[in-house]
Amino acid sequence: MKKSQNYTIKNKNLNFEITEKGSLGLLAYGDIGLREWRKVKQIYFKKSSK
Amino acid sequence: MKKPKVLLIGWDAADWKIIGPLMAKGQMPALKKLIDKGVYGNMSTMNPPYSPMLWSSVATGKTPDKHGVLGFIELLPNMKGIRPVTVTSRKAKAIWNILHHEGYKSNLVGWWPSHPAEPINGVIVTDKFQKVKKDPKAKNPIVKGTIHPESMFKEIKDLRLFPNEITEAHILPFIPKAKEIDQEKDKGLQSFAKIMGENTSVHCAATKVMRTTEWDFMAVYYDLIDHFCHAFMKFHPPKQKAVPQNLFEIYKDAVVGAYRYQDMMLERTMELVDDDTTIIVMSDHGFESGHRRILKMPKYPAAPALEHRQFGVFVAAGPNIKRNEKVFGLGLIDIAPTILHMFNLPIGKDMDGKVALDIFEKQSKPKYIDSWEDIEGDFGQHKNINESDQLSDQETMQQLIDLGYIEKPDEKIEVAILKTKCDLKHNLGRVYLGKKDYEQAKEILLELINDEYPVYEGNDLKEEDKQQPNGLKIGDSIIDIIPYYMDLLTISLAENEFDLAENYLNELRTRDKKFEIKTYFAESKILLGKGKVQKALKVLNKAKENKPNSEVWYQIGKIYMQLNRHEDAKKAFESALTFEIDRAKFHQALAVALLRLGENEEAAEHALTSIELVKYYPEAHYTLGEALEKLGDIENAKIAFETAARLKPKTHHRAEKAIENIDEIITEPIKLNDKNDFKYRKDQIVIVSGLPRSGTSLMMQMLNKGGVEVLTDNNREADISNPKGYFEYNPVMSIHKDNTWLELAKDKSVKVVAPLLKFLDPQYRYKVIFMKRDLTEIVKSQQKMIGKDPEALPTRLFESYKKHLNLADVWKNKEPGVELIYIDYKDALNNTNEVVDKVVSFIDVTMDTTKMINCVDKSLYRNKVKFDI
Repeated sequence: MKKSQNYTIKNKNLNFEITEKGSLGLLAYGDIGLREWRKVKQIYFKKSSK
Repeated sequence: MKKPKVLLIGWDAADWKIIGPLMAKGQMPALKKLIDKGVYGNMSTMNPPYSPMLWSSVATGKTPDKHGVLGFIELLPNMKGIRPVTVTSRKAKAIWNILHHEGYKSNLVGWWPSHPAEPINGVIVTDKFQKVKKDPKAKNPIVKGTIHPESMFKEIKDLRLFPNEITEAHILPFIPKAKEIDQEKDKGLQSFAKIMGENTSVHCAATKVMRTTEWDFMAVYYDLIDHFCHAFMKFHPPKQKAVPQNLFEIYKDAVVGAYRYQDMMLERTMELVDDDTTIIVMSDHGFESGHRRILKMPKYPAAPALEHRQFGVFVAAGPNIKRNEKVFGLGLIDIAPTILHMFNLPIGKDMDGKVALDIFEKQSKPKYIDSWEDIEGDFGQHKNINESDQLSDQETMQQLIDLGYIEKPDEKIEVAILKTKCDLKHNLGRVYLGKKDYEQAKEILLELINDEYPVYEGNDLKEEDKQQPNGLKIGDSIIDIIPYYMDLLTISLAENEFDLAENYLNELRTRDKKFEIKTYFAESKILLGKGKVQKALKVLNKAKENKPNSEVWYQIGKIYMQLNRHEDAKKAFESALTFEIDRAKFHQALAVALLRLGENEEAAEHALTSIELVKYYPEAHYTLGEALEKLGDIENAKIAFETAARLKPKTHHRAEKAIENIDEIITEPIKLNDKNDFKYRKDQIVIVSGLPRSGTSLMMQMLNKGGVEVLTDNNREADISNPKGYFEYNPVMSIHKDNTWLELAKDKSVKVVAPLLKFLDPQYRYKVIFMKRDLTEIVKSQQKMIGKDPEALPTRLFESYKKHLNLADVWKNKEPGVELIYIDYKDALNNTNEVVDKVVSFIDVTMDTTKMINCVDKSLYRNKVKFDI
């Protein structure tokens, strides 16, 4: 089983630990959350396709 | 003065019935936070409750007959096709058009309808932005007109969340047992992904423009709750019988999940504005979540709107908004005028809404102009639209079909156009019906039933249509005119045209046998109108036995009221309330029944509950007035009657007469009569009562000297105001919390001031000696006692004292264990012998009358009223 790639963004007092699967919290965070999640997904899929 | 900034957030179909329990459990913290620092209340919807019409009313402050958005679909300008409704149907200026003209910047995201984007000062991301194709491989270009200005395109274009991006991390919080879903048969997850994708897209676009642009007004519209409710409300607890257990287990948390996700998005939005921004969260209607949920939707256009509840939600918080207060009587059409007022702009007199002044901490007088529509200039509206850019929108159309809002358009374009024309015309008729403009409504509906329509021919019908029971047949009209007859029936009943109503009812039954089971209300109303009360009752009783519901109980109760069977009526209205506890008209009807039964306190309670639910309800205010009058609370009764008269669009004759009666009662001296059997009662408690400074201490002293033991703790010492002592007993002051000490008062006397009499325990017998004194003297004496100018008499105190005198008199008549005599303070001083005789015969025990007479010291009679001659 592949281990999820973690990535952290910091915004004010919030810390999001982002996995390639994302989370509701990230979506609710809006544009920043969506974009940061997609970045993580991209990194994850690049790595897993290698 | 700071520039106003307003954020308007639309939550389609949000309902307090779901929000209330979630907030109580701490599961909607953002909304709770907003309510704690703002106002909240019901938002009344309009008929018909179709969202594009309603949100256009929110934007314009006008009813759909004026703003022109009449449904989910519209005809193309060249009349050669149909499409999902666009902003071009709206003929009235929206808030953002007016703000544009006045130099303000507005942002608008997802508003329905807002496509194609109007060229305003600010950013618009239209309701077409979030709509993407189901096929994950299909291309989804953002069509021209979706984002304004075009310079924002690059910054926003990647902010759509596609259904195929949804992962288990998004699904499981809503549907924990998603893995059990057979996706071949059950398309629930597809609906879920589509709704989540669309609403997250709206939210991402909104947060982006909110963060990165300057704005004065911003409006964002989410359909998350509405679409989740249409898809999953049938699985929401409590489980309905017809819902399979396995599906219930899978989807039961979906609706609650939608509310919680909406709240999470609100939390983020609130982080992006400062404390100087006024935030409004509102819905256009509620959604049935109890026994009125519909499992099998009737097959007619916009039937899903049957699940929409009359009341949505309203919450507002901001610099000039009251804190943690409930507001009443708000309607969708009040939003635009209220926002214009926040910007200190005038309200068009042609707007149907009014400024919700009650929400403001500091209220200022609204300004008015005749109409914004007449003002020339740049309002950021469309001038020339290239129609070819927006003709085709199959995805939106398909979603409206999936939701059941529209039927699948006929393959023959001319038939689809005809059906759309008729639907829009019918909706206009229903708008007039909702506004009680029956003449205009009838004109439209009669045209619709009298028009000639083409009929189905052999090739028009599919096999599946023909095989349906009561299905379509060759020769049937393409346009179903039954809904038009139903509205005409409603109007004829409202206008008391019972013969006509009977004709329409028969017409409906002839045209469709299915309607027979659903026409018992109409049938009973016709029978009632024709004086056949028993027959009407029989019809309703049959319906009740068949399938009881709140409305049928209510109608039965109304008939019992007509028959003066008030006890039966009370039971019927109580039964209606067991089905639906929050219907104002049920509480009001029960209040009237209780009044007729003499249960005045209960009547007042139900009238108040009714008003709590719907403030603008003249009948409920009138009933409250009646109840309060009977309870002796004359001043508040007058306020209730005045409110009833003010709210009624026409003169409320009964309320006007009731106010006259009350004025007479107020101006005339209060008539107080003794209630006295002149008989000793075992263990009787002698109460000396009255208003403070009315001579109660004097009477206590007389009783004490006469030999009646006084219950006192002597805590309050004699002073200059009462040199012979107060004879008070401390626990009396907290009698409302604890009246067990009354056991100690048996065969003794104790002083209890008038407002506390109602807390006396009914298990004992009381002999109340109520001291009367000229109110002016009382108030002067009190003013002096507390060191205030005795000549400055507070009017409110007078009114309050009069109220207490009335209440005590009503209480005395109502309580079987209470006997009461009135003693005038002046008589106690000047005609002491007579007073002593009256008191002794009242208490009916042996007393030392000489000592009673001798203890009266006339020199203590001060604060007399001096009359100028």
